Amino acid sequence: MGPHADSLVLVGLDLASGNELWRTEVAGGMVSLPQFAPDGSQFYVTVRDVDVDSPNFGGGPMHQGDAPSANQLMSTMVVAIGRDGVIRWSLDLASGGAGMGGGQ
Amino acid sequence: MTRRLLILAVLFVAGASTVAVAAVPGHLEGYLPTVAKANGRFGSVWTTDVWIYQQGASTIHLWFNPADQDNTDASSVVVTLDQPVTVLTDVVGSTFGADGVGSVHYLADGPVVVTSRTWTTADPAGSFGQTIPGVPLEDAAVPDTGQAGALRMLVDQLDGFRTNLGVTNVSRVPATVAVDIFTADGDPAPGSSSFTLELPPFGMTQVNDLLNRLDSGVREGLIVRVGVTSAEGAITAYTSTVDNATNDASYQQGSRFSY
Repeated sequence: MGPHADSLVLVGLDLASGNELWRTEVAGGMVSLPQFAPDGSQFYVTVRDVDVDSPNFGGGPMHQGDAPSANQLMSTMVVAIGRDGVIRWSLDLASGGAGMGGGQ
Repeated sequence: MTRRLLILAVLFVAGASTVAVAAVPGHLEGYLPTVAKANGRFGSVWTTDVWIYQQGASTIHLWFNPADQDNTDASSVVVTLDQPVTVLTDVVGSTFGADGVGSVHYLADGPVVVTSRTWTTADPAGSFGQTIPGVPLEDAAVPDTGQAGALRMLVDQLDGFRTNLGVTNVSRVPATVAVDIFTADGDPAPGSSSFTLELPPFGMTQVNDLLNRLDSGVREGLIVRVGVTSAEGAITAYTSTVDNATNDASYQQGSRFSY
């Protein structure tokens, strides 16, 4: 399998000793490198979760006009994680393709 | 389903932080802006072969959208992706049982990278072809993004070459598209350098020999700008410049300066 992942495991390491400080699992595949807050108190990672079992995807041919868009098959979340590895908050971006006509 | 984990090390040192690993996913939905099983000018005969590289996808829906028509009611061909790479030789003829020029819309249940080669036989032997990558849906140009959100391609006006412009409506609503051609110094090119296209839902069109609209002459570094002027709609655009003597073609995907 390629790099697509169902879960992302973040491992905090002490750079001086190499010791593992914490380990946190986030659902979804990573789509951005972690971005750190200016004061280093927390960082943010964007993850995308694909709902491969979605009934919208269907098992047979689909009419193009009735087909779901990729945005309906996946969720995109921004997750904020503290230096202690604890998830502070997450935000579902729920991108809907504004202006593109019905999510396309 | 097999469970997969991506492990990322986040390193901390007094007051500073860094990371060790990056992941670049493919995409679920996109377009091959042009595919063909058709005769062209100057004796060319165009065929498109497709490669689908899956990174966790098992199924992909493919729609063939013939040029210059509303393709809302097109039905997908479902392809099972049972190995890392699936090859569709002569996709228009073999996969869709069709002919002509159009685009291919794809939607997978996991990340894929799609690429294609559209080629013609050469005289007396061999072939000439152009690589045409699949364009992720999110790379499309949409309304209300200003000048920087329009798509640009750079071409030369030269004797012995023809440049075709393709525009694909990747939305389920009609789209009005403005096309403007500028000289290398940014002025409108002399001749009929501005015009409008009306694209039906999921429709594409190819404007053959685009630079024939301009006054005759040799001009390098022309800018072809394509943008959506309707309230809704989303497009991709490309140019294909072909050597009239050999039918050797070069492909250029429209790009924009901002999102």
